Amino acid sequence: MRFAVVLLVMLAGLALRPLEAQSPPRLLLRGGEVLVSAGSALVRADVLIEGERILEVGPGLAAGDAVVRDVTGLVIAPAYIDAGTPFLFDDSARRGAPGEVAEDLISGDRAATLGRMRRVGIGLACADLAPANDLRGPVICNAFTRGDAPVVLERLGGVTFGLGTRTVNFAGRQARAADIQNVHGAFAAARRYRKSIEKFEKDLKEFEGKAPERAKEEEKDKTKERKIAPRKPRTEDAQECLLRVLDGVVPLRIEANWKEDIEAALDAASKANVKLVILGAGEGALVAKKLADAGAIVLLPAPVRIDTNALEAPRRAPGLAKALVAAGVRVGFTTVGSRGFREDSLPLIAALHVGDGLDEDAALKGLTSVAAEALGLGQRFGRVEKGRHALLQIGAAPSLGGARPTLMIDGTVVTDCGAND
Amino acid sequence: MRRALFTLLACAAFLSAQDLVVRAGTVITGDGAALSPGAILISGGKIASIGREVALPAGTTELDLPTAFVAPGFIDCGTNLAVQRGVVEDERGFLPQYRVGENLALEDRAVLRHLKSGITTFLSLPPDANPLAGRAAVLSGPARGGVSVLRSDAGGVASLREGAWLRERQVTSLVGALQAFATAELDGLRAASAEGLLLLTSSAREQQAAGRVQTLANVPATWFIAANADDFVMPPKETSRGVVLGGVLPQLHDRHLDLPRRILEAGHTLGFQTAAPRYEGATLRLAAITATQHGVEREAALAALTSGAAKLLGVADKTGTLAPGKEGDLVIFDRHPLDPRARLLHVVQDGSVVDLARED
Repeated sequence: MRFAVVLLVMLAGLALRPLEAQSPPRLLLRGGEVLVSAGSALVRADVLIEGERILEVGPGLAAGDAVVRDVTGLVIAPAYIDAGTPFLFDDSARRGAPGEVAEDLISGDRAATLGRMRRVGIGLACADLAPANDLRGPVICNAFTRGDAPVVLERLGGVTFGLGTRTVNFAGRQARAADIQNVHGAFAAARRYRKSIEKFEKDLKEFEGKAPERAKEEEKDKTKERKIAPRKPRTEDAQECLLRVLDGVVPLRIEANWKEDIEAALDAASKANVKLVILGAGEGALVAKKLADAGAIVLLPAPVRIDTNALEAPRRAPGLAKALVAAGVRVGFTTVGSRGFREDSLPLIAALHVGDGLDEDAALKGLTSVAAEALGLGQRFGRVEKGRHALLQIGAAPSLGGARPTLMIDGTVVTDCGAND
Repeated sequence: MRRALFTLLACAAFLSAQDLVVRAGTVITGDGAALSPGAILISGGKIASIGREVALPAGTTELDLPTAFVAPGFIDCGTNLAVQRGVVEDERGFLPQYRVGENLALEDRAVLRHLKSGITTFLSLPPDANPLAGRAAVLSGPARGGVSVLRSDAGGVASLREGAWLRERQVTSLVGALQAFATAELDGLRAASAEGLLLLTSSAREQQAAGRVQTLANVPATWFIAANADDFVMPPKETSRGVVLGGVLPQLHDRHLDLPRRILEAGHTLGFQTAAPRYEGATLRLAAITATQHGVEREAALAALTSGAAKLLGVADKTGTLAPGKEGDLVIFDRHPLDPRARLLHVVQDGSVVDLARED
């Protein structure tokens, strides 16, 4: 097997930051109330931001050299995160082929798309393609953050598999075994890939360790054939992504709707000992307890089915989100698979789930902390806390009723609704 | 009042057919007023009285919802529900005598699904495969075991959509359809549109042709327009009853999502259609919510589901607002019906509470 050195993370902020030692600009949001995470009580506190991160949250913070913005009477809350959007691609209905890297497929100027997302408070999105049903295999998804062109936060965000997607008949259901075999096969291939890299590293070390010895030998016998250094295996994005899943950096994403598919996904995740995100989960209410016990996150599309002729299976039962949350499952939302909706429909989708019985705080969590966890970014986003990215919305207390807040991405105001200015 | 009742076997379990009083935090009457709190008494399927409080006859079922919002039952301005299929094809495709109201499909489970989305009244169009497709009907139901006909001739349907003429029959082009309307079928067109003309279009070109058909029929027209049609032309106000938009969904381009606002600003009465069973009933309220997110006031968007729609379909004397004598059709939400977070708590049709939990 081939091997290679890997460039894993491309932090946008890193590239933009000046190289000098001077500290990044500071901003103090003074006089507001902080909603640390959806559902928690409002706390009167200032928020000090340095560069892209929150430096401190607390009452009466000293401004020092920071720029002060008066946010009296406003609430500082986590901004929304779309845990899966197909709208950064030209064809949002497109399904992904094995091994495709989402970032490579984003074409053209997405400024208008991002602008619409930002206007409704979405500051971070995971570009995701649902897996093709006839081309089974890992599809790589990415996460993006600020800028007029999407700025990549993580190039290799994770993989999305399809289990029994578009399974509408018995023959389709028979394909389940092949699908699940495909997941296991992918992990096995990723492990072989890792072994090949480890072997290369070992061989290289040995080769370099023996360099003086070899030099002497070659000096002695000039006719002796020279030893060639071990060759690096080729870097494979799909394998790198799978390794991130195996290492627990990002959860495994599986699109599954039928009960049997969800159970198969839970089984696959448990065997591979990885965290799991289920997309779709049409029959999720039937296996809610199992999902909760496994600590899986469920990402739901809109509860309104637009096109009754489409072979979308199975029909989502009313009250799905509510039933899942009641069983202890963390629920988020995705615009992948939400036919009839657009990149800026995410809060609307969450609101429609509230109309379908979901508690509003749970819906807000689904747009913030749960979405961050589903992307493996739970330690960096989704809460207003020291050390996290300043991905914030500032305005009236967040609600899904349609209010437009000021959106701040990584410490920069990107849509300003002008309150208190 | 004359109402034909058709037995529908697969109908919902209705809690009762006796008198019903609904008390709610807010009663939106549909004519621009709101009572807070408000109460409605429905007797014999009709609204008997409405006010802050109503007198309570003995034996009345009570629905007490102090924080809920009540509005008139929703009206879907275009469906193919309860329509018999496969019986109205002929090689010419001009069927002025065909009436939906006399050819109802008695077992259409989609009607019940529609009702469970809060749609208590709907326009049923004849199958859209004919240039002159027959007379549409305004239906309501199923309540107490039947689909009722609110208006048996709601206008003649002239379809200028490609699907209506691009077929293996005598008329194979839009021009051919227009010629037929102007000559051999002119009498049929005029006979069918005695109660008004319903013009089905999905592009600017078809809209232009529809304008010609309207001139031939010389009657007021209701325009059915696909919201995603490019080069939308605003229909003339003077000769129009109103505009019914289909396919208003959040996914549309901003220039299309702007249409409801533009149509209302041009002074037209606006309605929405689901084209059910193609699209689910829930998409009707979604269309109105989408309109509110693109420049239409909540009350105007709600009117497009209630009073405006009733006016458009010629049944404003029977439904669309909450007033004494009107049909006892209500939707009850936990918030304003067009708040996207609003949950549908109850649907009342003809004074009967529909069991929303029942399987279709």
